[in-house]
Amino acid sequence: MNMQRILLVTAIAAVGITAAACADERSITTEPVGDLGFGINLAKQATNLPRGYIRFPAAVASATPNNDSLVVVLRGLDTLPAGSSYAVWVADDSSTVWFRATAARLTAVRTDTIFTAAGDPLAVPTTFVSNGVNGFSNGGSGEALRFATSRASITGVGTTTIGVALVTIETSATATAPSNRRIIWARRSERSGTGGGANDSSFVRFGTFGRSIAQQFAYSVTTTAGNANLLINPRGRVEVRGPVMVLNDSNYLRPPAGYYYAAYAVKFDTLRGRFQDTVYLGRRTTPFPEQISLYDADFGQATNPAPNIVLEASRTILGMRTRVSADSLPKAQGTPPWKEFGLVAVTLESKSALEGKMGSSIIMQAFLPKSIRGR
Amino acid sequence: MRRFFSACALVALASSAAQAQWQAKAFSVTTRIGGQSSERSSSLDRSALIGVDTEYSLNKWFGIGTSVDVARGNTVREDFVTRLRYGLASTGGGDSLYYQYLGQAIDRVHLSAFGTARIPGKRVTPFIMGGVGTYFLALDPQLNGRNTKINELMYTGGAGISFKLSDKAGIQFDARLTQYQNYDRALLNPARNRAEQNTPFPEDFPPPPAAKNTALNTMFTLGFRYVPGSTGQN
Repeated sequence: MNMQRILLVTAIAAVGITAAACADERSITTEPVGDLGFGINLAKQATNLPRGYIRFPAAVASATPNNDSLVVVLRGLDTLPAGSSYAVWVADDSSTVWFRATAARLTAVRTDTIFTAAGDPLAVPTTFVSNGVNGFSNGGSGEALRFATSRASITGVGTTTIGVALVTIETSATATAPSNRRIIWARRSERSGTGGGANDSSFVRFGTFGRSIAQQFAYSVTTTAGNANLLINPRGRVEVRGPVMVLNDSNYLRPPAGYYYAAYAVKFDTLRGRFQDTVYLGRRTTPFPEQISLYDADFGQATNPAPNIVLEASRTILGMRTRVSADSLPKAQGTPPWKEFGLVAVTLESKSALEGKMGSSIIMQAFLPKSIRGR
Repeated sequence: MRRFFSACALVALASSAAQAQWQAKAFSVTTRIGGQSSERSSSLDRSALIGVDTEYSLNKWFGIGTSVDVARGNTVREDFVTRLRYGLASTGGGDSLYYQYLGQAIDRVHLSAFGTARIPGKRVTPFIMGGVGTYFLALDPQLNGRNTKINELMYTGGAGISFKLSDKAGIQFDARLTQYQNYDRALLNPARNRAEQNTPFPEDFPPPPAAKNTALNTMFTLGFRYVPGSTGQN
């Protein structure tokens, strides 16, 4: 190869390298990357956690039957499947020996909302009464329950001063001791308000019962207005970008024993925007990238699934995440994806209830913008 | 790379047998053109470069010199994701977000002093070189909203082969490594220190490798060597 040819080849190579590498990179705001995102904050919901009040019998057996009544009034419970039931227990202040409340009169009032011919919503209550009840499995967002029995009907309690009343979830209809899912309670010593109108009444706490006040884990407390006051303020955000929906939220209390956090989306109908369907988005996980399931992050678990996220001392969960693609959800495969999905909710679900069926305890909720739901 | 050095060794053996002739106490100037590639964690994209080496031969085996490389390349745009937000997430209707890659052009200048060691041959001369200097990175102040310049220590080393074309001219191919010291990748981000850099879609916008405080660059250049006042050796 002579010199001229060498020079020519090298010159061409040099020019080629230079030309190939000389393009300036700039971002252009009118040329975003991929789909546009739409976000909305999750807002804490005020009610629908388990709530209510308990009226204790008189401290000692009374000649007045009315004073010896044990009345438990609750709302916001999940419906339990066959084989599981809510049971009521009482004990003295030491909480060492429990007596099961039996032979009760259960009054369930279900309130359905219907629409009149004029299109106005109308609440229609329906009452069911059962006698001789030892437990119940009713629940639902519109269900109020009144479980009433008497000291004389509680085997073995005799004249024991009843200082604590407890509601548990049992898998045996004939359980003689409360299970570890001790979710609702009231102590005479820390009674609050005058729920039910009697001096020996107390609004309930929802959480995980402990033998002493120091040991108990209160998730929410029923207020005098009858609402369940969640004792923390979570915050978070939903963002939908193309087919992908992501929930990022933080600052939650650990679920009470036997509960877990889940995410649901609610689909509206096309014409009127009313609820059409709930779509299960799955159990919550820790944030990216670990994304460890928080199903077993409930209080009292022997093994903490994510000690860096689920804090033992403060009984809190630092952050949670859900990522789901419409590609994996046939009901979300509209054009655009997630069309007609109006609500996204973070719920507290009972492990005893059916998974995938949205419970009544909505902790956080976001109303998706019209750009997503399409109407 | 092992194959490259093996080839250099073979050439060296052949050239030493050819009675190499390099003139002592002579200057040479080499204009170079080529490309450079930086390690992934630096977020610097491949770029072309031009450079000038000025070398003084102490004897036929060793030389010292200075080198200047100039390049205008780009940052790796996918490493700098940001969001343009319209609206408020806390109000009804929420917000809308455009996702953007904030890539930008970057000027890179290398200044270094180096020493060379070579095995001079009749027509082919392999060499190795090493040196120390400084690198200078400059970003568009308008795009960044402020002056953004980096000027820190740099080490360089490499090897190459020179081919004699005439008494005064030759070409050379070389491969060099430069390592930036006190490198700060965050300075390449026009949206640094601002909100909206986190994305809730990390699966769709994979984060780059962890940042390091050094950046290794690999350069391949083709050079044209000129020996002013040469008496016949280059």
